[in-house]
Amino acid sequence: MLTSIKTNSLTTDGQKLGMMYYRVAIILFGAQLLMGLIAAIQFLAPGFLFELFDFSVARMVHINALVVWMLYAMIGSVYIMLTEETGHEGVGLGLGKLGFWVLTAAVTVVVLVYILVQVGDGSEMSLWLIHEGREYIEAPRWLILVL
Amino acid sequence: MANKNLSVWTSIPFWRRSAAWVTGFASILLIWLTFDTLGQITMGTDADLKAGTTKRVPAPTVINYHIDYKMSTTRGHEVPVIGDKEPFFGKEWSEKEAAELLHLGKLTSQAKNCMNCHTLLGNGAYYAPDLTKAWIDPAWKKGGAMQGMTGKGTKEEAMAEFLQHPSTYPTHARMMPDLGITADEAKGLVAFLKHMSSIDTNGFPRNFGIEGETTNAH
Repeated sequence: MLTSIKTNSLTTDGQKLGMMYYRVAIILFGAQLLMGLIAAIQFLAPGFLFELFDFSVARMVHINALVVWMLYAMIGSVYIMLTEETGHEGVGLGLGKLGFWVLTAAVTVVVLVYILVQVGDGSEMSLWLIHEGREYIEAPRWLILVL
Repeated sequence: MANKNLSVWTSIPFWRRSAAWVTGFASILLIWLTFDTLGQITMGTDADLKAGTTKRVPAPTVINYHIDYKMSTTRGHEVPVIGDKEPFFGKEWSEKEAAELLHLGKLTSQAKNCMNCHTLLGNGAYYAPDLTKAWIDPAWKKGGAMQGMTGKGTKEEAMAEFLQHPSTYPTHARMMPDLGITADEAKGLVAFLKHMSSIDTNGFPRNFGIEGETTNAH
């Protein structure tokens, strides 16, 4: 068994899962840069995307992408480095993959709602379904139940 | 004698003991601070307001009182001063009504994402003005720019009008977008802002009061 594991190259299933996390982390990092750029332009030209994609929305996606790409990069690093350090390909990788897809689907829905819905009315429902309106922890409450 | 430590700085037991002491001390300090803070930020009651007892976070019925922000000569920064009663949207709000209005305002402030442009109690962005003491901003006073612009006779009505149609009243190159705030939500938000301005924040944000007015309170 152990002889089939090649260290120093990402060939085990655990490391492949780690790479999947890295890819999403890179996409989210790109989103962070894009949103940061929009927010920066709005500082210089306040009319830019006014009442279409306001500073509050750009900043919300910007700082949430920041939090989540680091989360993805850390999870990915654990999968890659554990294999390397222990010489064991990891256990429960099927569940690990399921976890990856659930988290990624949830993050995608959250970001789409941030961008397309943006604000709700002043009710508990808005905090459950759209966002919580607290900086860095804007994620809607349903996400907590999923995770 | 190769094993003998030449200096305390290279002694492992010394660092182990130090780490244990520092961690233990910091833990006890943090637990004490947590409970101390809990006591300090617990919301006061309507009875406290009536008795004139000062609380860092007054009861929701504080919206029935006049709120000032004055330089405290003893504390060296500005403190909120709760004054005489004044009508809020033309009436006095009961404990239950005030609490409900404040709750609506807080939910609205979250649903409309205020914090990603404004700052509230030190949290948020600096794209738009700090809202912590917005209620006592001189611009909203009688004869101030905002009452004139919105054509309203009281601070609360001017604020509510602005919140419902912010892009109609440009105050700065960075305008506030129309967030679909209803009349009720706007009332709630103004109550939320008025209550927030009555919170004792140790003078944060600084230099917000009317210059030259001092108090000996607290």
